[in-house]
Amino acid sequence: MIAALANRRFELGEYITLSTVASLFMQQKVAQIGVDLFLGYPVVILNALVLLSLNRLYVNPRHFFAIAALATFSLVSAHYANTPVTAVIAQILGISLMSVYYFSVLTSFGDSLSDWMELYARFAFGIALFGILYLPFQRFGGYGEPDRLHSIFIEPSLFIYLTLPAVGWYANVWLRTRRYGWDLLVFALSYALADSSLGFLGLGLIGAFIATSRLTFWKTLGAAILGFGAFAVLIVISSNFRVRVLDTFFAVSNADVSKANLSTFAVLSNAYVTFHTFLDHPFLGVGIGGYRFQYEHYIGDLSGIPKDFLDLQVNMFDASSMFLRSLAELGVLGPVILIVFLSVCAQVRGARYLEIRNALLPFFLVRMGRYGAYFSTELFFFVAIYLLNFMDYRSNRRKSLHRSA
Amino acid sequence: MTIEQEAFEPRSRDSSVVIADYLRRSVSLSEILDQLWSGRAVIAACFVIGLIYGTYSAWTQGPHFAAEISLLPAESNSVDGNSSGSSALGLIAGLTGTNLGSVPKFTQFLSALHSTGVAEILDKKYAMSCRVFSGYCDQTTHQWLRRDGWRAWINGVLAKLSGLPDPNGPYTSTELAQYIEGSVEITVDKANQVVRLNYQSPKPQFAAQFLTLLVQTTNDYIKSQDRVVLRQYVNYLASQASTATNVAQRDAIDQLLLQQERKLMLTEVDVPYAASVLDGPTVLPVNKALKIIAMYGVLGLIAGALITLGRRHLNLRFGSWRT
Repeated sequence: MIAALANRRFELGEYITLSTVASLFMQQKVAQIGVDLFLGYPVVILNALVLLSLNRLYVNPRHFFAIAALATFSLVSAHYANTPVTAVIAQILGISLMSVYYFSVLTSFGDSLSDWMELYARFAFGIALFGILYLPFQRFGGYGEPDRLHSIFIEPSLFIYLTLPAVGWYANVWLRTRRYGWDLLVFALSYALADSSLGFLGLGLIGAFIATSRLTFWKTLGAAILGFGAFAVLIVISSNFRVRVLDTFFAVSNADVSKANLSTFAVLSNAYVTFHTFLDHPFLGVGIGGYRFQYEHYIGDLSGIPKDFLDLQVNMFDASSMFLRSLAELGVLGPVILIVFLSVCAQVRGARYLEIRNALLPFFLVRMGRYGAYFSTELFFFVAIYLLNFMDYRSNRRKSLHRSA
Repeated sequence: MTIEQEAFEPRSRDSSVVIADYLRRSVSLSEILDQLWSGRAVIAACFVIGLIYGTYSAWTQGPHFAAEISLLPAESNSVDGNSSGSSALGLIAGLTGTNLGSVPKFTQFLSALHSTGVAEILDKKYAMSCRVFSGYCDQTTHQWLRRDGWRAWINGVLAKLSGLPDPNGPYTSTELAQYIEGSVEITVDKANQVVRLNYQSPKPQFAAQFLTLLVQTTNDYIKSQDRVVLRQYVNYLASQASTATNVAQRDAIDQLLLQQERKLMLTEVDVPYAASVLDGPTVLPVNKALKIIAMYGVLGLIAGALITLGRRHLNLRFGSWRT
């Protein structure tokens, strides 16, 4: 099989398509020089250069103006907040490269958005299957937590971010066509083995979005009871989930993060830094890329924190959440843009569009809620699919309205 | 494993209308780079002009020096903190709403650095406005010169239009306070509470002297304000002590009097009152030349790129008008 694969002739288009989807999963951090450098970046840069040399790298004028507006706004904010210009430029360059590349590839290659989702989901399935098979040997790898499934990634949360859209996609397709039943079971097993609160939250959201279009009053009541039941069962059987929930509850109610676990500490300490940054710069923020300087400024105000936690500088670069980070870096406008984007592009009808929306919206909520990087390799791939899905729906709706008129 | 490049050409794909529309409106980055390459002479010329202007700008700005002084809360802060908050007088003051001593001396010091009161003293004792705004003031006679130039003219016209006084007269203490607020950078080290004041000036000796005088004057300003209040307390308590007949009451007043006299004593001696200098002022040269030249060079590149793209865009528009 390997010989057959080695001798196989790949079209360049096929290479671009496959390597682009593979790059989504290359989120292994190799260095940090102001921004996180992931393993997938060389693939994206190389592919972008190939496309550039073949006149296939495009930028839409609206896309260009969005980046220019973000850059201008950030430079003004950075000026008032004393954020170094280099920090802004590094973020803008990263966002520009990733967004232009993924939008170009998604619009120039592949047959349809559904095909892209299917190809991505097959890769994700392979990652999940590998994770299950690798779990017994994980402790010998000396990489990440030994007892929780994290497949090829450093931690289970990354496994969740990068496979959640695939789970949503398979679940939606299964409901319509009864295909991918076994695949869903493999994902369910991998999520149980990952034992991640984010994973359980993501599964809950997928169920909720699927159910919203089908619910009557009694079904809503039943779903609510089912949701609470699942929550209670998770509290009992998953010690990891229990620790997260209880630590967060006690830390918030006592206003004391000194006894919380690292994950809870990361969210609450970054929320504290964001809150103070927002009070100082409510309208302009501190400019994109400026969060880490605010973290250094405010984190020392928290007293009673174990030194190990402070030394780790948890999520110092990404604020642990894109909602928090955008609030600190772009002021009140940041979360407003995110929420408007998510809610406007969610306004679609029809099975083909809902399948993509229901797969991606839970991912965005979980990912933006707990991970703040602007240009990790997967983000703009899914942003492009989500946006193009909405534009496609809107265009078809206009046409059908025009025909009926 | 080989990759066939010939198969890279766009194949007939079932792309949706919206994707086709998106692509139709998009611009190829290769084309933009081609256009920029065709206008490389213009871009290179603009870049060189930017570098030359940057060099000229760095040269005309002259040398810059940064003076820095490190401060710590002075000893009197601890005396104040230990006594005032918990003392009977502090309690009385709190009940009457005056809340004496609730703000630490060091915080008062940091807030007062750019106050008009401090600026007034600096002006009176050291003619600081004249020295800071030296371009508009005769350094020997301390007489103000009239501000001229297009900016002063515009300010004058706008003030006249609004019925405001002439803004081009002598600089006031309020303007000096605003200048201090804008030009003295305060950095607090959260780990050890050391505060650093940083000030930049083309004159190294003046920069160091300015910071030293600012710290000294602000200390004196806080001290003199406290002295006035404490003297009144002491006078009042002394008169009460002389008239009180009840022994217990008299003892309590004596204790209060003792406390206030201790504080008053600190305002009478010549020691750092609110902030003491830990280090400095140290003066270091600030070399911004490379930064300025690089910045103007990049601006030149951007201007050249915009001219090249704009010229092509205008040519296309002009061509379409002709046809």
